[in-house]
Amino acid sequence: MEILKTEALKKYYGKGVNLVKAVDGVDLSIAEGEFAAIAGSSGSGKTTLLHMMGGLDSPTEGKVYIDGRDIYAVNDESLTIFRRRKVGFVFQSYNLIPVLNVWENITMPIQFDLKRVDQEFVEEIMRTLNIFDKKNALPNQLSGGQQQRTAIARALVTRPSIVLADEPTGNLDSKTSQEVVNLLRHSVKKYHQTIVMITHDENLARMADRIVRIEDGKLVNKGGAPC
Amino acid sequence: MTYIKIAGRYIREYRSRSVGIVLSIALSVLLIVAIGSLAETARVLQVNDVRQNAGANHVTYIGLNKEQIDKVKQEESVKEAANSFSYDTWNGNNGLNVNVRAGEEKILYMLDTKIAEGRYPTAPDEIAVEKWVLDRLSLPAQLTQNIKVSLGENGEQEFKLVGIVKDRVHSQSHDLRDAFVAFDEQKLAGREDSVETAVEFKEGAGYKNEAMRLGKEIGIKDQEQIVLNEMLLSAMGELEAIDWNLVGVSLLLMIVGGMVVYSLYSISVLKRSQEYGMMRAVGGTRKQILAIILCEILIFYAAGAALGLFMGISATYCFKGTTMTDLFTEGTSRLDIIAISGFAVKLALLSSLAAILLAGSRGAVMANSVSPIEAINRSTQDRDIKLKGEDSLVERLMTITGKISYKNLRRNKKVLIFTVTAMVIGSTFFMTASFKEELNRRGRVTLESIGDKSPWCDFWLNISMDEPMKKGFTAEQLDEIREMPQVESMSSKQVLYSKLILDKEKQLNKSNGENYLKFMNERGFLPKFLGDFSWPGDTEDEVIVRNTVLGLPERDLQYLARTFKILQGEEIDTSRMKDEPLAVLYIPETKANGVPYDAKAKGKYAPVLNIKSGDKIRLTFPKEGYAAGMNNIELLAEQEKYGSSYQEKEFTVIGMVEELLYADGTAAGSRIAPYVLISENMFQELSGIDVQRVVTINLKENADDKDYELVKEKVQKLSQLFKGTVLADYYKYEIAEEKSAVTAGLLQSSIVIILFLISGLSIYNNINYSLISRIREHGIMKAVGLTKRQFRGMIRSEGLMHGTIAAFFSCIAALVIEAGIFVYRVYIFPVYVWPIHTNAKQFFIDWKSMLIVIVINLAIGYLATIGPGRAVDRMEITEAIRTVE
Repeated sequence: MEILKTEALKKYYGKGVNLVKAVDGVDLSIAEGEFAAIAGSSGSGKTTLLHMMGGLDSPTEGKVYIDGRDIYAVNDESLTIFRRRKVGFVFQSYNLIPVLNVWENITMPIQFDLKRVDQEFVEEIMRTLNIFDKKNALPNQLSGGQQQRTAIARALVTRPSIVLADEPTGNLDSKTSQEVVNLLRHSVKKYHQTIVMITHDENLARMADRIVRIEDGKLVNKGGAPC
Repeated sequence: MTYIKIAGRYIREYRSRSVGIVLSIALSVLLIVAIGSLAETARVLQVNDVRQNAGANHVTYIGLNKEQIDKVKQEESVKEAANSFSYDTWNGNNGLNVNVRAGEEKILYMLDTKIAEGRYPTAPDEIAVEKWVLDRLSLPAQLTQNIKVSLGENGEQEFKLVGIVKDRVHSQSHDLRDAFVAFDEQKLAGREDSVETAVEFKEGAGYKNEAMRLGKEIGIKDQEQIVLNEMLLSAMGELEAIDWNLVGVSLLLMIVGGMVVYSLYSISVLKRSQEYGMMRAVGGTRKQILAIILCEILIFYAAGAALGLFMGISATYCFKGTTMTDLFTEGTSRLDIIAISGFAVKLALLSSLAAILLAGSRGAVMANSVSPIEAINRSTQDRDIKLKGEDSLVERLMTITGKISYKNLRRNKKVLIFTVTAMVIGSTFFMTASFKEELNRRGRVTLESIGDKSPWCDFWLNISMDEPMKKGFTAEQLDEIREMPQVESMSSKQVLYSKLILDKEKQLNKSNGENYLKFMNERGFLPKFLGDFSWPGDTEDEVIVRNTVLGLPERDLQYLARTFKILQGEEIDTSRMKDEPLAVLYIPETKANGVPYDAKAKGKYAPVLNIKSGDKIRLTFPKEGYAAGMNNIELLAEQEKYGSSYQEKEFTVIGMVEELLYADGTAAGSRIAPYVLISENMFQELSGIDVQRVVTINLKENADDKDYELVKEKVQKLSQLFKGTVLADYYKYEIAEEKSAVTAGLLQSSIVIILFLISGLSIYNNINYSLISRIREHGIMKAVGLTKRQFRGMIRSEGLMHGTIAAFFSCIAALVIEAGIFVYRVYIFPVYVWPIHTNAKQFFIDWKSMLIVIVINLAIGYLATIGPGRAVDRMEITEAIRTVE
């Protein structure tokens, strides 16, 4: 079943001779439970594509459907709430809130929703990601890998329809990178999640179920099973 | 040059911060210059006032001969010298005396006046007089008229009025009358050694030393011949002294303004730490970075100081022509001239330079402490966060957005301390000023609630102590004014200068009493010609002490009862005083040293006499002293001669009044001596006197200048009935007082507004920075689901938290200071000096000012979030996430 779909998605910057086509007419479909990697060189438009897929950046043209819903057809408030509930994000630079401890960072989206935190579920995720003992630690007391695992936990905690990871290993050494991607993969399976991961690392991309390649804002390969 | 160019570019790049820094410096300089100059102006005016009062001369040499006069005139350090001598006394037709002074024309300059019309007398039969003196003598101010003058020693002479001298306000208000005739040899004949030479030295000379040196040089041997103008010298000394109040205000502004500059500049430096890192990476030295910073702050300083000076001087000139009460000295002056205080200008420039140098040095340290690598990598400030991971009880009760706001406050403690301190200073200044005003207002309201309006009268008539006690205004004379439609009320008191026979052991309050008598005899305020203040009694156990007896009409007895009830919470049946020998006593209070109003002395105030309600007092008064023509001064001074002819009357004390709301205004009726208040009936029975010596008149509330003139004419006529009667006219004074209070209020409000403005700028800036520096975090929160509404709520709550904390500390600081003011005013130094009363005996909280401060603090906190909130709101989430600091 299709969980995410883009239709002729475009993102242009500037005008005339300065026009930059960051994303240029991308049609892509992601199935439920899939672990897809979007690979491409630096400046190929993969991060812009991911941001538009997650409702963070509005497209110049085209549509994005998540769970069959056109996410840009709603107002900003509704889109934020939709994002909060349906999309999980993992960023390259972890992007944790420095004043909140690990537990608070993880449960932040649920608390924004003013919903009761399912403690058991959060603790289970934390144990799965091996950060439970760091529950009360502040981000600056964690290693890079621990911070990124916290970010993954935050992305999973709302049981979103899709998790979008933007170079989640970009700031980590190769060993930790391998570990983090394994965890992501494991989480997909365990929590029946769909993941789209951006990477420029071929080795990591190969760990995904499918690799989509992008160059100069266009998809050059929508991918099947990785080679 | 390169440094200036880079500094200039930074100034342009961070335009709003640059404007903020320049504005903070300018506002601080403005306020210091304006307050300092207004205070300086007030002091210059006070010196001018003293000049009017005591003359422009620094010294007067008495009893000089011609040779000595010539020597003085040749002296290089002398700016002006004027010779004069007292020629005679002019006995006016209506009983008024005028002192006729023969002098050179420059004597007018020395008396701070000049010829207003006509010229100064040159011929022996010419005279010049002030217009008000002519009015008092009922003579027209018409030049060339011949006036027959009855002189005390020289008999009747005819003078031609050749000049009208400009009225001297001080002489007029004190009824000191002078006329001027030429300084000629003929008049001087026989008084060659009695010339008085008034000397004004050139500026810069050490006046006191110079006066003594010149005296010695011209051969003066008797020091008493050298009369220094102590009042003027002392006032001029005040002028040259350091104004510590101004230094205090400057310090306050330096702290507040400095903090704003400091935080604004630190943020600018922090934001460009990467650029400094780059500069250092490509070979820039720490010194070069320091030079850029120095250039930048000096440009800010030059712009801010110039703008502030311009605004400060302009603002000061705006006050020209107004009347104001000096904020610090509580004196009232009409600002006809404006003196820009050099001291204030220097202080303003120095304090703002200190503030900006401090900010600059902090910036330099910050810029140079970041390593090139750290700077280039834009290392975040997250590593500096020192918070507990576990939630406190308060945090557990908060929503996630509230918790983030709260934690961010704790994370930026320095910002919080800066913000709160800046706001606390402004708020506390405002609240304590309001509290003092309210304290004074309550005091006055309490006094007014007694119902006796005489303490706030428009006219006050007081018969001179030289006049025999039997003389005074009759009921018929007073009724004529009382019945005028323009008059609301009239109050009169009978006065008798008498003596109390006290039991030394029982009725003198230990060291207070003994030291008090010593002080009063040695240097109390009684003039020497009145003799001693106390004498030994008939026995060794007795001591005789001067006092004043007031006879009160029935209405005043009722007011007296209300005075007890309202001010002291005592129920005293004063109606019994009408027909019984009962008295109410006022006893001066001193500390153990016996000196009245000595705030600096140690110990507590206590009455000097140990007399309580129910005690009996022995009052003595002269049997024959009331006869018309009996010299009062002689009667009072010569205890030995007249002591035996005093008769005694015993009174029972029914109450001790703590506040003397009215008194006889002469030296004999000194307020620092005991007062005995009895009924008019008893007064008459005791002395046989039925006339009144102190009269107060209140005009109707809606009385205009015309009504005032009508009543004034009658009152003046009444005052002329007895020689030397003081006629104080408060009508114009009250109007001026009201106006001056408005100006003082305006000035005080300006200080408060500017302090709030600077503090507000600091809060705005700090909150702004705090939010802008967390754009990335806001982006993350939005990315994971924080709606715009939640975001706005979160940052507003952060602003409001700043405001709440600032308001809380402001209120605490103000309450502590207010309690201090209250304790000082009520217990340590209760002010008995009219008209500043502290009758509010209970501490109170000035809710109004507190509420204003809370609202202002919350409003500033709230408003400060709007701008940055919008800026962050407008930013795309992806852009925000990419932002580092």
